[in-house]
Amino acid sequence: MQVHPARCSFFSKLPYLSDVPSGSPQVIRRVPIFAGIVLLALFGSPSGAAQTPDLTQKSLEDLMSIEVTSVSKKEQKTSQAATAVFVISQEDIRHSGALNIPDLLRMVPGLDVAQIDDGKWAISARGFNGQYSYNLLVLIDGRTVYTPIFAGVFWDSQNVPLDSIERIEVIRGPGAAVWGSNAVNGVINIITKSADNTQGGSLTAGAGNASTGPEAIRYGGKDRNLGAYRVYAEGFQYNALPTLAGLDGQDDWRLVHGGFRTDSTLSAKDSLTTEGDVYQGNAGELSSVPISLAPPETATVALRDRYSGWNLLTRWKRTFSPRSETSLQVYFDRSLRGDSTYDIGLNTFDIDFQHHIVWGARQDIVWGLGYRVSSDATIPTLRISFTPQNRRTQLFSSFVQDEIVIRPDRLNLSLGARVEHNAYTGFDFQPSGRLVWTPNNKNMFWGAVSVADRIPSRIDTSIRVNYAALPGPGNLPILVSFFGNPNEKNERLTAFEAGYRNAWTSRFSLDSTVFYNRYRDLVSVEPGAMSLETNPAPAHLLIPTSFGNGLYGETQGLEFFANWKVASFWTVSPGYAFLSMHLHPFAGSQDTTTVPGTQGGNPDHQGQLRSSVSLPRNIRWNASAYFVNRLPAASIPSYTRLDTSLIWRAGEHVSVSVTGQNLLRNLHPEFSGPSCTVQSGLMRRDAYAKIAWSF
Amino acid sequence: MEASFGRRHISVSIFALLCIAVLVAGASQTARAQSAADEYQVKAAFLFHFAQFVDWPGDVLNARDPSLKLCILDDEPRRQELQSTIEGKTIGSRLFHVRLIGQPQDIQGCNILFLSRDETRRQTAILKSLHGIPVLTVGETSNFLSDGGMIRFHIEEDKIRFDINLEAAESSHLKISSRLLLLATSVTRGGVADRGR
Repeated sequence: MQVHPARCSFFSKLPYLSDVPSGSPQVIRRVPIFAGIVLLALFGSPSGAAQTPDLTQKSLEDLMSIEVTSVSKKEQKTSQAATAVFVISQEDIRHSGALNIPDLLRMVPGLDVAQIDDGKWAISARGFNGQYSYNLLVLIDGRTVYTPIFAGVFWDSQNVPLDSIERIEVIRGPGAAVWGSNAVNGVINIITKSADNTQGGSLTAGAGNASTGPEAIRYGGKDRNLGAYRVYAEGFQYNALPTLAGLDGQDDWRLVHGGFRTDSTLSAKDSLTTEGDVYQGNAGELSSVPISLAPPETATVALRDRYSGWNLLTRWKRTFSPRSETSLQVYFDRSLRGDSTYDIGLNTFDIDFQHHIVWGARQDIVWGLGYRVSSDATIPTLRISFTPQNRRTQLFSSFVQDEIVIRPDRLNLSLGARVEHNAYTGFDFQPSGRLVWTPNNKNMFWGAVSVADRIPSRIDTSIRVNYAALPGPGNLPILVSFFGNPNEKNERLTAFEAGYRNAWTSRFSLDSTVFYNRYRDLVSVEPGAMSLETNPAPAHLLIPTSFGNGLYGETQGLEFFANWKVASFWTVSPGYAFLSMHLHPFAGSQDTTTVPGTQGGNPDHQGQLRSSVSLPRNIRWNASAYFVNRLPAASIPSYTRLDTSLIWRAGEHVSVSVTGQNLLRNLHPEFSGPSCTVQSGLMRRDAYAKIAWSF
Repeated sequence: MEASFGRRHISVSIFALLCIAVLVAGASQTARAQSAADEYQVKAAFLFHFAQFVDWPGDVLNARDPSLKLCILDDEPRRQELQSTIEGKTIGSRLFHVRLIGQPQDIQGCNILFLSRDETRRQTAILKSLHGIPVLTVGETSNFLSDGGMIRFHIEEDKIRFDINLEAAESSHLKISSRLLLLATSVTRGGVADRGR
């Protein structure tokens, strides 16, 4: 359990916690090499495609046996969106060979995906990355998996069988006007397939040098009363990684989960979707924690996070008329999580209503109302406690978005706003305005100004972490603690974005975005006055620090992505992202470490090159290279990661894949806080095979 | 230092080799026959065949204008792909034409309407407005058939499959041949879908 690592840079003041070796600058030289290879792949390739045979001469049966590819999938819906959106399609998922969602997200240009240890990832867009990237909202079929306790996402317990995912939409930049607060730097929307599309059975088994599984079973059918349904169960395990400090990380990760989904048509006007999941798992870590106030006070111990939970969601859609439809969604989510230093249970109930109405010839309006209640219960330990111990918070929200056609097919304006009331900071107004200009069918420009807030979480407002204990003067132990701030304010972003997309030919498309973000009231860590504390015994000196809103700043960057169908069987997708962060303390803030820690914890350059080749005999070969520049604050050197996979469809019902990850370099780190308590793992060279049989 | 340089050197070489391998594999493939085809070109061929297996009411396809019109709503890239495959092909004496229409109201004269998955927003409304009108509607979204569409494409393991809502076709006076029904993954009759095959 790591508490707010994005902010734990503060603790680098304490030398005994900084056991991370200093960085080696040698790796910077890789940038030109990588760029050279990108250029080589781009321009050194054969041009021109084979002549297309006359498909109309083939019989339907023949047509049904042709394998199809589609580059254009991403250019469709997304080509009209006035936002920086990237869609991972089911095809991308199948071809990637990835075993989990975070590994899939690596393909999104501009998203920073860095693995911390087996089950932990730091995932963010446009900066502020950390184990809990509190600026990124993640939803699975409309259910938020952003925890209001820690402000972030537990990727180790949120897994969806990859073959049941319809698509993953990743929006970089603010989406708060539509999706709600905490959608500050991005939204990840995981959408599973309708049960209509997962009919029949499938069995999956996999194994690799460092993992077992996923072993999965799924069955879908149709029932007269229930409609289409599917049920599934899946389990997997990853072996522990070595740590940066050279120890066995003891971070092995396992998860077993199962669930169902039904999609039924109640009447000509009504449709109902119901889905539920139940999961249980655990993942270890090596962490430096205070164990007592007597020597030895602080030790590196192996902790094991155990988590379980279930959730149930139902969504009722009704079409009143061709121009008016509503959706009502209700869900309940229960999660339990803890290791020997904390223990938390959380129940969430959420109800959400939306109405989509076409008004006149030029306006397309969506408005909605939402209510969420979250109640948590915590058990205090020497290391982590919350005041109050249990809390129930309510969130009321309403939003409206109007898409206005100014000139048909040329100019569209979208205005939206959300009003929320949360338990910590009260009312909150988050507007957004977006303009799309489509001069012709091949080019599209968009611009947007939006405001998004990150609202405080339980950690921000009410945690006490006894971060470290150490021997002090005159047998008086010292306890270093930090405290949540009950008066914490929202962090507010005002974002300016502009984008350009084109589809010059049906074979080449380009998507580029620039952004300039202004943040205010960013959370800082402020030192307090030293005092004598008697509880917990024995009496000790307390060095307190607490959260403040002492920082502001600007970030700017650019994201670029292209999709080039070199030939009908070969697609190449290069991508690049640049980020520059400038944070500053307000006058009065004594925080000197968050600024360099945050700025230096995000790569300024990221590049990627993906290639997908369809070979004869139903074999597909995918290769992806990712370059991530160094993280100076954490002394993580830059690295190039190469993943590749071969997928062979052996007949109609069987598919076999072999995947290699981290092929270039065994044992390199991807992420670490400057001196976070969790020991980061070293990513190893992995190979695994997977076989899937459908019936 | 030496060792780490060596390792870096090797890994860069591996990377370069892999990239070259990608290129060579690509180049050698250009000469060969294709193993994968463009999704919408194949779908166009499907649409061409659908037209052969569907009977429109006698008064719709009259002798004066013997062409068959496939309409696609406001989707220029799709139109290009469909057109390149089927424009000008003939079914018996009927000539195939692909037409791009800007508004759903321009549907007059269309025999087949193809709604790509971009059209999710207007789909329900369009299909509702076509109820009872003899236009074969073909779409792609998961709720296309429940919205009243007739044939829905879906992709299973990279291959194109389709489902048929026979009830919707019949209520628009279109007759779908049993051969097409046999090839469909599922056929909806009287509100209930049978899983085919």
